[in-house]
Amino acid sequence: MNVSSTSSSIFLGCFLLTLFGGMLGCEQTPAEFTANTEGLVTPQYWFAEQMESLQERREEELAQLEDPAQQQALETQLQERKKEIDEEYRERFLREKEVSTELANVLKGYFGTPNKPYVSKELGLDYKQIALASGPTNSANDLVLTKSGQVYAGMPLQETESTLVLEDLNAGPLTLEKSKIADRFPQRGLYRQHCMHCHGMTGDGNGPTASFLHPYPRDFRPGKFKFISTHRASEKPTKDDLIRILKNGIHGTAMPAFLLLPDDQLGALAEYVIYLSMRGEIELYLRQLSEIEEDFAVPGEEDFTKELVDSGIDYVSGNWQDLDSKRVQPPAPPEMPLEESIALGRELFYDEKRTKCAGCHGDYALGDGQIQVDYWNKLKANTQGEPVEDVDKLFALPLQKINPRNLRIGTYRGGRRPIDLYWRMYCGVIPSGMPEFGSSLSSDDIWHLVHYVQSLPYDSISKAAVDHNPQAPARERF
Amino acid sequence: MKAFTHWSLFFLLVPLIGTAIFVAAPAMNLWLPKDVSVMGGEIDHLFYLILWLTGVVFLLTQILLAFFVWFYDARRRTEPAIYSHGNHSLELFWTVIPAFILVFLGLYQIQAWANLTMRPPEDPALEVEVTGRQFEWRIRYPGPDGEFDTPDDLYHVNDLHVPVNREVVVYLKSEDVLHSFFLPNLRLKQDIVPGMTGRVWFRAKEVGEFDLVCAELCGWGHYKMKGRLTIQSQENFQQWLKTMANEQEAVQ
Repeated sequence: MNVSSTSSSIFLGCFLLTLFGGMLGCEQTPAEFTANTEGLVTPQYWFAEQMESLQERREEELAQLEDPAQQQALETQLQERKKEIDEEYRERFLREKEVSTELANVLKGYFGTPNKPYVSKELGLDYKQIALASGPTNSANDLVLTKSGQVYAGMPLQETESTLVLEDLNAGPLTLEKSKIADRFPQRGLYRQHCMHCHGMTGDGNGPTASFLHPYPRDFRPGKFKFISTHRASEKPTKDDLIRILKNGIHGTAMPAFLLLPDDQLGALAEYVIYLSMRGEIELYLRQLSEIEEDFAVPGEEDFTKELVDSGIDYVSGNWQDLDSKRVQPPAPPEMPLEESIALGRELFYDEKRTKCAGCHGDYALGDGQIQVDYWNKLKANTQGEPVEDVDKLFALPLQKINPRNLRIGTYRGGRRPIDLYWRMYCGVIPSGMPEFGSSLSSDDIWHLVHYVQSLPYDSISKAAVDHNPQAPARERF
Repeated sequence: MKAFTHWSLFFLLVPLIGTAIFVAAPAMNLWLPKDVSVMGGEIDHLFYLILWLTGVVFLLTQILLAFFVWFYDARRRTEPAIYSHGNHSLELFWTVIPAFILVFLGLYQIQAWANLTMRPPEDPALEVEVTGRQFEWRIRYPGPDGEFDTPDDLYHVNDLHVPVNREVVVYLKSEDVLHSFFLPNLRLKQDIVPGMTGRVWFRAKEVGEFDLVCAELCGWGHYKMKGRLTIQSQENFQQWLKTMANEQEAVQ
């Protein structure tokens, strides 16, 4: 039941090594830190599987034994094993409960809850924006602006009929008259209104409508994003990248366009997505930690845990800092006739050493080269890409395979501008398996490829893939 | 305690309240949205004509009902009820009159129907393709060359810009399920059937921003399919197209 996958193990392995190597100075071998999602399997699932294998063993071995005495002995043996399993299940169950409670507490301390968020200063997030996006739709009553100018969402310490006592982030406890709480943010709850039913309350990509979508809604928790304009920045998008996706939607997926939302609301939603992503990364990190670190859930060991969590927070929030300065700003396309550029791009497309584009996107760029399992689904697949049955509570949706893009239909998920396509190639769409070419190709080469890709929908053989004539019936465009 | 004897008055409240709602609705901004289409007047005229016809019949029948309730009240009339079996001339009367009204309406609206569905503008100033998909409107302009399916096509979403006082033809497609392209201010509503291309046309007579909504329950996100119709002056529209084209060609 090993659910390890290469890319997740590299990610978490590096992550944990950085932390432990620096902090504890202990010699840990990388093997110990390969991420396996085994720890993320529920005790219930573990128990069911153990019982199943026990039953199998019983049927197999009993059939081979003819002597009743031997059979009796085997039964006793099996009974003992059953007891052991029961005992371990009990232990696992209690531990899981303990860990879950501890995790929830730690997360709440740093992040509040997605419904009533709290943002510790280290995260570097704009609390006002997050407050605007969180909470029940159109709710304003539990959101107040305190004397020191902090917005505080929910969680009153004490409440009477006319007053609330809130913990001001700067000034300590603060009593407020309810009648004077201004209706400052009538648009609260944007995330619940627009996003929650697909992306889920905690941003786990498992909202009520998630399971019938292909591809699944993004799970923000692993902190991976596809459409980014930053190069080698832990797959983090700039805020502009997020807002652009919000505005235009992702054509070809179920993500709709929110072009008509006001800018401040889009900004708030993007900030909230970053908040959920940070929170999720810490949550997953803590889960891993709880498996590796035996003392994790033991009360009285808080200091040790706090240090680990703090450095985790530093690492995660650090990844989101200064992204704008990491934005790739390409030089202008080379000056040459477009046809020549397209021809060069075509050569590159079929170059089996430098790009291998055709390997995935197919010999005819129809996206039929190689079916992939993306990062999020890899967490549910074994090394051969086959589905692992133990769909556990953290990754509840079944395995889903994704196709490389068909480049002949003119549907561009991350945006259709030349700069968008340039970013896709320069920065890659790493979590989905599309590599980055920023390190290996020159900007001119990438521009040639962009021009070639842009020409494909208008190529003569593309007419078979999709008919653009408005008089003709619409076909599927994804 | 004396029992309530004026049930006829109670039933009279139905036509009274019904009429009051219709009279008050426009003042409460609950009436037809502002009409900005050249063809809208025709549609509204038909709507009002039918509203008046049905309104008058509604009032007559309701008042008659209240009258009967009062007239045949058992407390007022002591003679036993008489059961009749039809009145030939009365039945002829209330069958022939509605039939005549129906035929009249059918003939009367033929021009409007033909204008809406059979007489596309011969030389439209703008053709645009709108594709409904769960849950947004994908919009495509043919670009400067006026032809679809060329690299200069302009793509947009949810925000349909059109010039004022020009004939506009919209091709309607669906990528998935039934949608309905509804421009309330242009009095235009057309179902979009997957696999078919619908065609509607209009000529707006006023600039402004109006609603574009989906009027066919198309799935759980139906409510999300709210777009915007932006009617602009010819210059502003051309300017907008240019801006869009520049944005779409962005290389930095």
